[in-house]
Amino acid sequence: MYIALWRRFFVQTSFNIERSQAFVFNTWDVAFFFGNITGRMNYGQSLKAGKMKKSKSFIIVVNNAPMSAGVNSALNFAKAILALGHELTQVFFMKDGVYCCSSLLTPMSDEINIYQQWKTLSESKGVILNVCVASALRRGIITEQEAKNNNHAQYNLIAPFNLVGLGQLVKDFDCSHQIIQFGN
Amino acid sequence: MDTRKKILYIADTTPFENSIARENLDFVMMLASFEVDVSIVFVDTGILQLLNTEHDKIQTRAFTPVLASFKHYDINDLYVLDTSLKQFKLTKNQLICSVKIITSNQFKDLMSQFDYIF
Repeated sequence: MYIALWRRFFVQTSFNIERSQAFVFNTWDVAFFFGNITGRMNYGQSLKAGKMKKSKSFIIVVNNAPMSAGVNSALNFAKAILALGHELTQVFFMKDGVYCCSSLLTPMSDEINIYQQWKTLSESKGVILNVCVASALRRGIITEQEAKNNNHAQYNLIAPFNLVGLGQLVKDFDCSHQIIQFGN
Repeated sequence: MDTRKKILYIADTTPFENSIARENLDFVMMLASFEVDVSIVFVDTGILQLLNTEHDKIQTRAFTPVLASFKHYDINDLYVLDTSLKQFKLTKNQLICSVKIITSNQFKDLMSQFDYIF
């Protein structure tokens, strides 16, 4: 209860402060953020009403594993900002988020294949999908080259996903208005 | 002209439940090596990361070397929320590195000073 309250306080506060440009999202935060609470306009409405600056550029950081609400929220958020005409500089997968990038994901037919969804988004909209190398190797998400280097028989990270260092995230800090992080 | 980005990391995860806490600290340390100013606030269960633990008995890496190496990366601003200390009945002396204790209001003001919050 305490954590939930604190989270709520935090999102609300950071929303009010113009200079703090990154929001930290947990699953319930997204629900809170998109819900219209106590007369506060939600994000889509504020964009339409012109209360927020037009055409921002975003970085999305995904920290959650597949089959969690955070990943689906990240995907929906990405689709929404692109539909509203904003720029998505890159999507950066870190920590458990790198599991979304495995091409071997084989969910049941009535479940969402998050890997395919990101791939489709990248192919149709040209979104850059970067995967943190430190997190990925630790969790067995490897490219063909890394598999050769480490004598593994298989690899599971293929284009359009790029295995990159943290520098790729930092270099976009200057040209990005907001970093939206999903998950811890 | 000072163009360095100021980043605040809010550490609120338990140290040994999963690897998130450790990976986040590695993450901010790497950020600091890219000429970014990093400050850290430990809140909620996150302050447990600052305790001296017998980590070798549970097959995990210690936090002590990471926290000790912060000064080499120019990460000097470490904060702890006073209510979190009270929550776990801890005092400043029990923590393994020197921190500044802040109140909720100071925390709110602090957040407004940063470009990005993780």
